[in-house]
Amino acid sequence: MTRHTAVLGRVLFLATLLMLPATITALEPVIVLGGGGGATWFDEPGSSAAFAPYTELSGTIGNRGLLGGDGYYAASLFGGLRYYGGDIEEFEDEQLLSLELGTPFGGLELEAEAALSSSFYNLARGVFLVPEWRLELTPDAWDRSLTPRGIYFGSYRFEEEAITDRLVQGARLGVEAEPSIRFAWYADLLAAYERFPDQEIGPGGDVRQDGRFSIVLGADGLIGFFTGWELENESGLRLSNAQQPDLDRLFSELDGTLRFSPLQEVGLEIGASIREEYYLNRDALADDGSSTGDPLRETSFSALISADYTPNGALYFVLEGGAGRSFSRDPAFEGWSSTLSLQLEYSF
Amino acid sequence: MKLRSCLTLLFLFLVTATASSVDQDISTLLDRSEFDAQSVSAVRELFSEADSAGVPRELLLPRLQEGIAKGVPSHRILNALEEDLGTLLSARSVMEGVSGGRRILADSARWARAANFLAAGRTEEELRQVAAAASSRPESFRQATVLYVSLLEWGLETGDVVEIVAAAVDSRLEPEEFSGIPELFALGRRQRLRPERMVSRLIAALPRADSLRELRSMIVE
Repeated sequence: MTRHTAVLGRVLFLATLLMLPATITALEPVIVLGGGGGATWFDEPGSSAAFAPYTELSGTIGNRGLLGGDGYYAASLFGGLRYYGGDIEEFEDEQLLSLELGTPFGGLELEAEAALSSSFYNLARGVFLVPEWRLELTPDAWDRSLTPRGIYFGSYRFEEEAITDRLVQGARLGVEAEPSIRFAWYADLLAAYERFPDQEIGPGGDVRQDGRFSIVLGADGLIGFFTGWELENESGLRLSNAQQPDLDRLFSELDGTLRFSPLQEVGLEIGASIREEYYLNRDALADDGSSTGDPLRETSFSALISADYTPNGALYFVLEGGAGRSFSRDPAFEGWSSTLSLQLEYSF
Repeated sequence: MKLRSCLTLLFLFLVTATASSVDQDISTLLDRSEFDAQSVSAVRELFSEADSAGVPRELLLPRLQEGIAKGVPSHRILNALEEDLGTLLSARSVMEGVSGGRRILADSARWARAANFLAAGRTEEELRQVAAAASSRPESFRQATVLYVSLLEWGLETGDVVEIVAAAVDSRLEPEEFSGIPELFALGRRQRLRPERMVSRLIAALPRADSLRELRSMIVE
């Protein structure tokens, strides 16, 4: 780094600090410890079906605060340790650090988010680190009418034992509106560049690079007072310079969530997702590796249901079940998984 | 001066027209009903009693309309009307004891809302507390009672709920946005935030938020 860039960095840092509101009011923190167990069943391409019971411990500490004006910040740290028995007999760890800042910024409202997911021993990936970042700008004085917004996002996935390392840089431009307190929607155009540094596509050392272009439509709302829902669809095109195999494809994904808490003691959440991928220049292969003559398509479904009960707002009993399945004419793209768990969580 | 006189005359005309329209509605309803003469007389007497007590007739009219439309026997309609009148008077009595209560009562829909609050089983003390909390912004009274009932039925303590209602009324949130506050508790619950901590966060953030969306970002998302 040259002296000039170091000075420029300091100036920008100080300018940012000066622009941030001066007063900070910390809100009540949240500290949660949890423990429990469950089991997972799965059958993924290239492996035989497996059953693995597990036990786990986890903890979360989170803090939020108000900045002068209408700004806020949030920080949270999650850590978990899981032991798989059955066919696996291994430990796995997981951490997630997330930071968030919302503040007026030159007549606009700025939301900045950064997160770091990590594991020092992940069963499938070894060490992995995934930093993510996101900036969103909207007009500061929002009156719920149709309003433009812009989002920049990025991430880097580092995986020690896999070749799926990936840098993502992207942007979304769109509009949002909240016609009533019970219904809001948004529509964005998304463009992202993805680079896979581990995946060389030819003898010249070129690596795989993809472009993702899509339309994102979403809505959320409120039914009654304690039931919320969210729905999002992203449909678009992925173009890649990888030719062996050809990865160009159309895709569409629909995600939905329904949350319901009729009483303080009870909570229920149901999430479901469906994804369709249609490869433009690639045939599905049969078991023996020969072409079936049909274009490769993959359809995936997943669902998660979580129910919890708390007698006192501090101790929670959480029962979760989930299942996912992929269908394709190509057996390498077929698989299923399911999981069931029971957790005890205590909020301090 | 001329303009003021004209406006006064217009106001008196509108009041008289509205009152005579309600009277007309009552007469039409009673004519169409299968009430005997004694019941018709009793209903008219009850409406006169409401007049004497200063209770607007239109606050009792919906009950009469509903009862006759459903073919409810006259004695049951009379009982219901008497109960409604009693509740409206109780609500007024409570509101008159609250600073700013008369401003809430000035709108007959809000008066009806206060009576419905009592009729739904809430106590006079609760009405007094909600009215006091909403007195600085009378137009938010209906939404304040809805917020109060929803949070209480969800399981929060009365004291906490009154504090939240008062903070919501004093905030820059539009009254329509109050109905989004209960879901914030459901979202806080997902993060295992204890209810008392959530109350504390709300009380701290409500004075600063310009909208429900901003409030949500500040405390739970």
